[in-house]
Amino acid sequence: MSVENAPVVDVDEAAIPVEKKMYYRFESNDKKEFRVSELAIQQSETLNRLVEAMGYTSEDVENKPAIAIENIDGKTLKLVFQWCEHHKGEAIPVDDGSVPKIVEIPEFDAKLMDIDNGLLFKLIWAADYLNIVQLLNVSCKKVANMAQGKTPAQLRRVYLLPSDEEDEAAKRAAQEAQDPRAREVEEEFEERKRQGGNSFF
Amino acid sequence: MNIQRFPLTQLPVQCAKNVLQTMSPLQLVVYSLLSKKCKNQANSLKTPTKPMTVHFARGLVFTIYIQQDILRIGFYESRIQEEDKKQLSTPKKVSLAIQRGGRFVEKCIYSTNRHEVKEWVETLLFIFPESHDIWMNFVDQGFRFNLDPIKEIFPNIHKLSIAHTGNYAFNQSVLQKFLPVEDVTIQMDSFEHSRISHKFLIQDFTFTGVSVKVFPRITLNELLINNRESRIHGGVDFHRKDGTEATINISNRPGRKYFGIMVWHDHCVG
Repeated sequence: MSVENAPVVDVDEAAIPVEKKMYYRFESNDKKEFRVSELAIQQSETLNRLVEAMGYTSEDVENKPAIAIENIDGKTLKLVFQWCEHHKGEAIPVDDGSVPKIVEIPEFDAKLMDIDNGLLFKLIWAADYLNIVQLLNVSCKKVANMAQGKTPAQLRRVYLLPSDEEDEAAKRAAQEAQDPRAREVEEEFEERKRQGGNSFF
Repeated sequence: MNIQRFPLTQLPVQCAKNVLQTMSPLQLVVYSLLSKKCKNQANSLKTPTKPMTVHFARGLVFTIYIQQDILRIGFYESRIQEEDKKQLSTPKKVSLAIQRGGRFVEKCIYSTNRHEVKEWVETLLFIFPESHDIWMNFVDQGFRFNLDPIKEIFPNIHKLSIAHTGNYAFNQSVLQKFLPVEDVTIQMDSFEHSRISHKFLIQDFTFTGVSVKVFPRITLNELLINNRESRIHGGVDFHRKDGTEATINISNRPGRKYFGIMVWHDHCVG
C-alpha cells in the first residue's frame, strides 16, 4: 500500500496522556524558597516520605504554603537540592557494611563540595537529617580525604581531636560542674557503658 | 603550612563513623594513634583483614592485606638508627603506604614518631583483630635485630619463614627462639653446609616448606626424621628400608623451579 492510499485517522490530542512533571516547594529556615522535582526528592528518604504522606496535587503545591525545612539554611539547602536534581533517578546505594567503604566522588559532586569546611559541615548535617545516602557518602569521603598524607600531629589539628589527657581533663571538669546527684547519674551511666553500652565519641 | 580544620567530633555519631569507614587503612592507622577513643572507634569498624606479615630485613616491615590493598608500615629503613633497631624501641622515622595492583597509591612518611614498635604492634592488632595470626619472616640482613625484644613483642607467632639473614648463628637462634610454631618454611642455605639440626626437625609442625637454593646438602635421613604433616600433589613415590614413604616433586616452570621431598609419616596419611 502506498503512502498516498493509507487511511487517515483523526487523532484526539487531548486523549494522549502528557507526563507532567511535578515540582514541590520547600522553604529553608531563612525563608529561601526552592522548587524541586518529584524525581529529585526521591533521593531524600525523609522528604520522599513527607510528600507521600502529604499527598499533594499539582494545585496543592501551588496554592498551599511551601513545605518548611526548619533546621537547614538556604545556602545549605541550595546545595542539597542541586545535588538531588543532578542525581535524580539514580539508584540509592545500599550499605553492604564493607570496610573500608569504597566511595568515588564524581566531578559534579567535587565541584559542588568545593566549599569552606563550615558549609561542608552543614551539608553533612543536612544530608544526614534528610537521609540522602549518597550525598552523605560523598561528603563524608571528602572529610576522610582531609587525612590523606597527614602525620598524626597534623591529623589531630585537622580534625581538632583531643589527646587522652585532654579527654580526661574535660571529663573531670564536666564532673566537677555537676551537682552530686548528677555526678551519681553520670557514674551510673559510665558503669552501664562498661557493662556493654555503646558510644562513639 | 595552612591546614584546613574540620570538627569531626561534632558530627552526628553515624556521620563520624561514615567518615572513618571511608578512610583508607593507612588513614585509619594514623587516626587510631591519636588517642584511646580514636583507637576504640577504629576497632569498632571491624575491618576485615588477612593475617599480619612481619619482615625482618635491613629494616622492619609490617604488611597487612585489606581488601584489594596492602597496607605497608616500615621502620628502620634508613641506614642510621642501628642501635635503636636492635632493641625495637622508638623508631623516629615511620613510612606508611598503601599498595594496590603493584603500585603505591598512598604514602605517608614522617620522622616525629613517638610510639615504640610494641605500641605499633598492639595498635595494629587491636584495630585489625583479624590480623592476629602473625607470619614472621627473616630475610637478608635480618640478623641486625636482637631476638629478645622480638620475642617479647611477638610471644606467639603462627608462621615462621627463614631465609639466609647473613649470619648462620642468628638463623639458628631464630629457630631456637621461635619453635615450635604451627608452620615453618626454611630456606636450606640459611644453615651452614645446608644442615638443620635434628632437634629442630623432630618438632611437631603442621607443615614445613623446605625451600632449596643452589646445591642442597640435606640428607634423606634428615628429611625422613622430620615429624611434620604435609600436603602434596603429584610427584614420584619411593620407600626407605623401614617402609617410610616419601615423594619427590620437581617443578621446572619458568619462575617457579623447585625440588621438593615430602616424607609421609603415619600421621601424615589420612
